[in-house]
Amino acid sequence: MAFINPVNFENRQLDIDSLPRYRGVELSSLNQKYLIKLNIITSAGAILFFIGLGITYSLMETYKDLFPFLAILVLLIFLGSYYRNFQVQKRNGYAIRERDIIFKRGFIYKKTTIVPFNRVQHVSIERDFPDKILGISTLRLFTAGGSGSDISIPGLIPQIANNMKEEISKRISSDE
Amino acid sequence: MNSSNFYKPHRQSKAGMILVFGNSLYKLVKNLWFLGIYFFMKEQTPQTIMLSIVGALILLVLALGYSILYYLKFTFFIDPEREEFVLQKGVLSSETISLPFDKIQRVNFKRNLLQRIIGVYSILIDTAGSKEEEVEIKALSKAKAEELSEILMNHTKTEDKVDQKISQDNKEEAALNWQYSLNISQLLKLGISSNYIRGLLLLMTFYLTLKDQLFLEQFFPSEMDVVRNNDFGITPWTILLLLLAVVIVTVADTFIKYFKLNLIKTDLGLQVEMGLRKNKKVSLKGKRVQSMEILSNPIQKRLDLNKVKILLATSADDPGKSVITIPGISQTIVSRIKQYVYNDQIRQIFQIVPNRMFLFRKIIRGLFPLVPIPFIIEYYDLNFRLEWIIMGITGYLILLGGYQFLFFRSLKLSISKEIIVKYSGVWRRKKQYLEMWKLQSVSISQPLWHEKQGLANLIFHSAGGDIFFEVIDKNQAEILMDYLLFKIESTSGEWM
Repeated sequence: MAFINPVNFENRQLDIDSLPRYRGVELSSLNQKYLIKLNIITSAGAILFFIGLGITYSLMETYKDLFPFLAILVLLIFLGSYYRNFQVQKRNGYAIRERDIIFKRGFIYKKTTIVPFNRVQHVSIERDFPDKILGISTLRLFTAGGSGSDISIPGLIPQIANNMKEEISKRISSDE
Repeated sequence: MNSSNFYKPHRQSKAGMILVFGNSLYKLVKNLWFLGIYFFMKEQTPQTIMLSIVGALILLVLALGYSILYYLKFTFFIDPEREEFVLQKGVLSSETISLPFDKIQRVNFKRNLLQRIIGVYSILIDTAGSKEEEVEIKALSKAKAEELSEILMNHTKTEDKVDQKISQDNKEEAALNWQYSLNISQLLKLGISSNYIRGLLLLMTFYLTLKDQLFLEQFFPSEMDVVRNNDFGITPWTILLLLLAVVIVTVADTFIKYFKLNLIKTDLGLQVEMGLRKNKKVSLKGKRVQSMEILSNPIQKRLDLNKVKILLATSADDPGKSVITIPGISQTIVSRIKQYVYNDQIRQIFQIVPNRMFLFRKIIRGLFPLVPIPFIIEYYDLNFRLEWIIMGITGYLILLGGYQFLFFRSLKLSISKEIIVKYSGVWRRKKQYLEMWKLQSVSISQPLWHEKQGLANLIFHSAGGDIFFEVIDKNQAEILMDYLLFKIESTSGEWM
């Protein structure tokens, strides 16, 4: 098992402070079009929900008094998700370092995942229907660590996504 | 050696017919056993008995015919020109599987009870990548199985072939380091001291299937009475009987799964063998181990029976997790296994414990089930005395608080130079080992409400699953994360 090169490792005192810190890395934010996409999805959900609510209201005989409260509650939830969309857009970000990729996302539950290139199985670029209309792409990285360990970075200009994919592919193969 | 016959279409050994027949009988019994029980539960007229016997005979003849055809149609051969192993099978529709030699990773042997009785071996051909992972030839005599395996291994060009070669060259050097097997009394102890929940579930499934299959008959009033009389009289005796049944089922389950558990450590690696019905034989290579768990509870600790769970990665394209559970081993053997898998000794240099907020959060979460209680009381108009309600809630709070406090105290992340160990569990103590450089990626997460306190959760993504360690100091988490990334990125070599 030649995975540890003793010359490099066994005798070296590791100075924790000299480790490269991921915190200092400046993250690039996602394209503004991603915010539009999020808002479109939220709006579509809201419209569908209110149509459903309207139909139920016209069909129901009893409990009609409850509906205004329900409508206000739902409205608040959707307003909350618009607010979340803005916050998410502000906080999401990614960065490529020499040996890994950092992706940070979320607002209420922030999560930063760092995937080293020497553990990436493959990279792909995906575009769903709203992506095609808005002209953005999603970059996906797959590892052997399951869904928790894979990352997909949405809201990238296709050109950038392609460049990133090529850059990462190069680094994956050069590692081996 | 007369190996030439493998290059022409070849059948399994004659005894294989018995095996195929046995298998189809097994399937028949598995799907139709409830009919038998039904048959014995009700009094039958001679006419129905006759009809049933005729039906059973017809089924048997059909099964036999099917088995013979299956046996005759099951052929395999080696195609040296196209460098393939070809297998053809199927009674009604026929299927041809060709395995190119360079895809073949490993060739294993396996035997179940029936195979042992009729003296044949299963040969399993493992392939890389593709969905169709394994090809099994169920009945070959020992000589033929070995011959075929040798031919296949000689043709394949994978690293495992190298291993095989080495093992042939160094046959003398592959000395036995140590061996451990579980004897009957230990197995019994293990069964009795193990978790009865599984036994209970097995028993319940059995009961429910029985009930489900007989449900159709329940519209007969007489049948209804029988069911009522049998099932709804709860006496101390039935409870005792039920408990006994659960214990027996659990012990039997343990016997079936871990019969003849045998660990062999040679210079070449660690081999585990176990099982009554399906004799499993796995060779453990330290390289393939993704994570390891050591489990024990106080009773089993006293009996020196620890359980080791090892998660292996099988192939890089499709890391189908395979878990190997080795129960009932002593502390010394546990440390020997640890020594083998992590040859670097585990010396803690640093430890991380969760913040008190963790305890607070768990207790808050535990309070949620109490919320609907007032509504339930209101809705069902239950007249509980206030004292009873207060007593009940206090009892629950004490239990909740005590348990969560102990759980909180048990949590620890111990960091060595190369290895992380997570400790957890109140009754069932668990130690999870992760080799840092084998991790796939690392995540840090933080809910909004922990931002001010500077707390965060760490998630280690390994090929054997994710391990969480929650509510710790964010600075510590970040330093650890940087260190882990350094370890992963600076260690060259295959993680499996």
